[in-house]
Amino acid sequence: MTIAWRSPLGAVLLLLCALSFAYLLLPILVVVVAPFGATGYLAFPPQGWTLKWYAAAVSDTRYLAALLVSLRIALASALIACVIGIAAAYALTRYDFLGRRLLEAIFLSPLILPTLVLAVGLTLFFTRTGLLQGSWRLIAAHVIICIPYVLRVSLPVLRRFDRSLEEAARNLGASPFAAFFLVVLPVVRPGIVAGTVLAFITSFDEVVLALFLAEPGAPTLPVTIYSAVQLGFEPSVAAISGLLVLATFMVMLLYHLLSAFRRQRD
Amino acid sequence: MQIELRQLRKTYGPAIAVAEISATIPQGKMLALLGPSGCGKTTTLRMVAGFIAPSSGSIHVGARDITTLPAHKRDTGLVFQSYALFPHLSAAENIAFGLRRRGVARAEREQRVTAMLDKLKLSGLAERLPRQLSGGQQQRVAVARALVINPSILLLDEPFSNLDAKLREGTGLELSRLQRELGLTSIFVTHDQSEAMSIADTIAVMKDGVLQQIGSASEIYEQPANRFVAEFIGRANFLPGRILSGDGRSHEVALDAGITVPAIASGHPGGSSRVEVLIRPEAITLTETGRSGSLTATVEAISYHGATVYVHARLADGTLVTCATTPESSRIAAQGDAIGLLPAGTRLVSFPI
Repeated sequence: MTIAWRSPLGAVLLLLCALSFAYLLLPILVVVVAPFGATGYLAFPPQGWTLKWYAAAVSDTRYLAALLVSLRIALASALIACVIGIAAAYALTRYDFLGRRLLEAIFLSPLILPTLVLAVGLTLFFTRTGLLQGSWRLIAAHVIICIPYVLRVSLPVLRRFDRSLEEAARNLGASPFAAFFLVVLPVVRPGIVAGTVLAFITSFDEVVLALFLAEPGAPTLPVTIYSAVQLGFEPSVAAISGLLVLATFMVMLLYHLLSAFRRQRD
Repeated sequence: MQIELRQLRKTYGPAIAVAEISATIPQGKMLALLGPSGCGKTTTLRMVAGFIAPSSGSIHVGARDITTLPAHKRDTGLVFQSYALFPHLSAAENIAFGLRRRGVARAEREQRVTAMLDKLKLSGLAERLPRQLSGGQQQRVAVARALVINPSILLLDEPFSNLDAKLREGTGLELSRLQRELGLTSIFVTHDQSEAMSIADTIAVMKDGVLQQIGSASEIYEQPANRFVAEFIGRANFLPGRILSGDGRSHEVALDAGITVPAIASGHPGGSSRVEVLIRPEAITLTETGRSGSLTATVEAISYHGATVYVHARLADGTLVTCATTPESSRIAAQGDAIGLLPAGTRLVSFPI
């Protein structure tokens, strides 16, 4: 779509767009740029230039340890949510059974349930029953909130999936199990990858459940940042956030380069 | 191998998809299931493929009862209407899929896939993904994928409906040649009567889940069991009349339009002497008006189809009759003219009203 910039309506639209983007992106810019300032507090625009705060953030072992905890928990949560989500999406799209709609609603409900309620409930549940130990408590909690993301992406993909492909595989001698892994899964893979990435990100920057359920000695990165901010807003906290933004940017860039490369190959 | 359907039936609650169908397809022959959409032909095919469990009845391939065998153990080659090629696999990998499932060793697999690619003129396209192939090429990959496993039976679900008319005829004949060459017993589902007549040995006409008639193309065309079959296969004119004399098999019918014709009886006349006589367009000769045994009509329209010319003429009582004739014979007719229509003495069939 092209917009006629010269028309009054086009100019208004352009202005609205620019304002929205500025509103969304400026805070990120502040977080990335402010830690370069030499002052001992966050100032924008930064006064004087130094790499001190970024250096402090990188050399602070608490942040590195927390990053590893977060990566581990996010990876485990995303993979488990992916497996459960796909199995649920497959059953919900393939079979018509009593309570199918109710079950779908239950699977998606963590999206609307306040996380705090879930956190309190799960904390009580785990302490009463003594179920699961260490980081598995947080992983279990994150799986619950990650499943809806996998499901939301894979349900429409599986609904659109041409069932005759599965039948063709069966006709050629593949058991239902083999047909699923050899045909259904590869064909719907892009949707599943997208859902898993969403789940990973959801778990990675989740704070509330992590505050309640993380292992006492091994807080996740968001929890560590949150505590640091409460103690006093040092520029090194912003520097950590700045590094995260940079990492996210790199991942996005890599993803786009890869898909561009793949398109070219086809 | 011979395929036998014994009183096959499929119902969904009160809805009847297939009322009851019995048919035997001898080794190496092709049966066409023909009918309008919703007639139960696809349901029947899917029961044979194992995707739908019949409500009652049984399916036999050779001496074996396969009614309850799961789809992946049935050893049937199926060509889907949508082709159902695996979009993430190349043409060669699509064709190799069934061989892999059967544990065929790599060397033999490659050799069989290559042979099949050659046979279906796909040699240069082995590494292409389905979306990089034309409709006709995709169709050939689908056929190759079904044939390469040497199935005991071949099932075709409207395999030509997505091809354009020109490609359709050539592909149909090619497929029919392959099926004969491999001696494959096969079931072919279609809603296109000319397709069914040109490639099948036997045609089963279905309507609303009920088998209407089963027989060779000529039997079904020349001696349709009922009015539905007569109208579905080819073009048909029906003229009402009254039975004058005759036994249960053939009789003289006085048409309301004014002439008397001999007709073969189809179905049981019952107590009524009223019948409708089927007169195929090509069984009518155009002649000058007033000739004995001819009907007088007014030419309404003439449509030219190359080898055949259809002359549409209206009788005095308002019935529109279609005649098929050659371009030469059609010259005596001009739009608005009165003309004589002379039904042939044989090949007329009567149906009780």
